[in-house]
Amino acid sequence: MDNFDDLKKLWQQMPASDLPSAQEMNQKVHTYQRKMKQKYIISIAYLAATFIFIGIIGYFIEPVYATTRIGVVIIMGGIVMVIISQSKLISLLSNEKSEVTDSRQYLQQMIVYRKNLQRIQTTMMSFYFLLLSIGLGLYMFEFIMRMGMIPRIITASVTAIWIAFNWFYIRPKQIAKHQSKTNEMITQLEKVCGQFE
Amino acid sequence: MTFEEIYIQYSPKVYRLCMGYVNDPDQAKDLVQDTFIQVWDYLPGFRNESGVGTWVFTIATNTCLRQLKKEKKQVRTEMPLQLEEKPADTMDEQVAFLYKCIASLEENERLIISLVLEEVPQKQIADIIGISEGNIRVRIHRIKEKLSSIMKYHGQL
Repeated sequence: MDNFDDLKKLWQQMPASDLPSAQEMNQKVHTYQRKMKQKYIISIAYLAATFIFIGIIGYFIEPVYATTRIGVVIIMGGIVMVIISQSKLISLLSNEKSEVTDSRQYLQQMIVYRKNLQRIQTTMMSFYFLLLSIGLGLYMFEFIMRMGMIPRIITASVTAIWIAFNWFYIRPKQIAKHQSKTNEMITQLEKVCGQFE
Repeated sequence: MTFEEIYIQYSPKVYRLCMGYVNDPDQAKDLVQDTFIQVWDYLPGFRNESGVGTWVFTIATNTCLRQLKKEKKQVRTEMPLQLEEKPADTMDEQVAFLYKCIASLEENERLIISLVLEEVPQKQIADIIGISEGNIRVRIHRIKEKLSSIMKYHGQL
């Protein structure tokens, strides 16, 4: 191309005058860092609120069976696990910036990272629903045992159906939702990564 | 070099690189911001003062590649079929046309040609992209030809 130098000149003509000044960029960096800190604090606050809620429930309910309390603790444990892992995910995502490696290596790292993230999300979701089901089952046990035969059968059936609905419908749906997003991203990353081969 | 010095020297170059990649001024500005947030973060551990340009461009190219997740929102005109046939007359139109042509290339081609137009030496481009110098030389040649044929097709060369 003979006139590639002309293209270079043309390329340089792109106006970049409305970029923020160095001072404004400094401010933007600080705002960004403050926002990241706020996100972290909010997730800690959620966690603290959940613990307070467990405390209140533990204080007010007076069950006869230990299974009821254990059930509540397991349910809350599941919720705490989700909050912790989500806040961990947030920090993982915010750290998803380029380690200063070359682009080819960076893309490969991103693909590995995304695949790991997908695995964590799937495992965590299944574990969460498992805890929720066990917790609910244990919590309901005492109330079911106190009932007459027919209400007992009805309540036990409804609880079992609810657990099954969560496990066989809600859980796969949640997992599929996460996976389709991540899969789409992995496909795109792999496509670009292929361009570097 | 301080953060301010790096920003003043490299932000227009990074902006052009990002424009070559997304061809959208707002998205390009966001990418510049993301790039310099990382420059700020990594600067305390950065020792290789002589290679600051390569370092900044590496962060910028990786930031562009991470942009994939938003790419669906990107209004990227497919080339050459949807491009207007009328040759660009004014300087602004010519600049816009060049960036439009570049944005129609594949992702890796957009980054490589942007770095070439930014006059980054081939050795550094090879380091930034992560392929051998020989390989990058061949690619640059092909991309130039491809860009040339796109532009010729529309009567700009």
